[in-house]
Amino acid sequence: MITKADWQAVNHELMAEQRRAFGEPPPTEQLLAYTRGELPAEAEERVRDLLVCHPDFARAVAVPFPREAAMPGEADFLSETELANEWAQLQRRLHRPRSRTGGGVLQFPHALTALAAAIALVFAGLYWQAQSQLHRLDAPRLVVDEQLLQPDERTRGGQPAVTLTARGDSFLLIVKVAPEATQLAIVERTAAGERPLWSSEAVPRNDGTFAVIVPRRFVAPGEYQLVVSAGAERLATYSVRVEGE
Amino acid sequence: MKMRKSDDGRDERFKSLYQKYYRRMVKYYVHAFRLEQEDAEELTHDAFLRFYEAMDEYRGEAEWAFFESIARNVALNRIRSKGTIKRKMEYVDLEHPKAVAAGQAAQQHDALERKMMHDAIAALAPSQRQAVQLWLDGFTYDEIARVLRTTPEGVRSRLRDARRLLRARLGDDVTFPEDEE
Repeated sequence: MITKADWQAVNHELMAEQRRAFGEPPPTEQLLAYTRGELPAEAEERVRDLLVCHPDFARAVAVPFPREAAMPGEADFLSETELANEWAQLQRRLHRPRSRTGGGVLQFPHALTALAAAIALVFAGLYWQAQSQLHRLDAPRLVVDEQLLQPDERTRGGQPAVTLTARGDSFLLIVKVAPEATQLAIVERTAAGERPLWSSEAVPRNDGTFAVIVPRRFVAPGEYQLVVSAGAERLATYSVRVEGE
Repeated sequence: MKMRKSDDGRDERFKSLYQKYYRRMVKYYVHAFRLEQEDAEELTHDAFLRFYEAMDEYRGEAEWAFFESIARNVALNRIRSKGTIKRKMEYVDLEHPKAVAAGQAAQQHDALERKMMHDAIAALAPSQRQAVQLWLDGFTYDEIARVLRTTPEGVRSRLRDARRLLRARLGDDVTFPEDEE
């Protein structure tokens, strides 16, 4: 007698195989485009397969987003007192420096994400002022190589992806983020399409820039794109190539 | 982060939305992302804060669509950062059923049966397989329809056809989980 548990065990085994075959869940931007029906058929089918084997993400798509406002008198409607308390909490958070990123500089969390590109970005008009000093011997050190890149739309029809030339221990990636930016992501560009490697909330430092340190030993040769977005909208992209040493 | 000075009209508009949607958003996060109440409240705060910072650029329907993008984005990033929830199910080694059986005939039979089920599901057409897999994972017809971007009727049809094909492969006496629809 085949039980429900048998079916579920088989399904979970199949999903694990599919995760190994299909890869990581779709990037948020692609997922939102999928829910709006904006993807071409082939990409849509790929997202379907990814959702089936990443059910946490499928559930996020499956549950309808709330659209009906709660009205006064309903249990979901905040009372004036509750609203005042909530508003005070939000105000405190709005004026509190965001410390989650350790002063605005992120370290790549682990090797998988650190396969990402090495990019050094400085926007026109915004210079990264930090002068990093290279210490030899055993002292902890950070090597900062700066390379001026232009957003893709400024080089369209002209230059291909910029080849990075930095040769330090680490790369410092700097990007100016617009106030409306909500996310930064690094994707690897392959013949099969884009593969998300890393993403983060866009939490800028005081000067409006966002910085990420990538250890050089984690950088693999290939083509990458850094994407700055606000929700589903891409605000800017930067294409770079990393070549083998 | 550049913060705008307090703007009474903007603040009032924000408060009005917050008052009407805060609890609905918390419930949404609990349900859609299977979060604890406390985590859902924190995510709701995050989403509304991000919305507050950029809401002036949107009005009317665009405003709520913008909020939806932010809210989904915030939660999906949370899922990504935590990794997929580990399942507690014990898996059977389908490729080496004998190793599972360890000399026990009943277990060996079960393992072989599961391998047949596995292969039968994998052999379905993609649209049927996707529906079956979500259904086995506990999704309702409506939820499957939203995930696969089709209609509940379409899901019902795919599942009916899939069950027929699975019976043809596994035998007429095969039993399926109870359909809760």
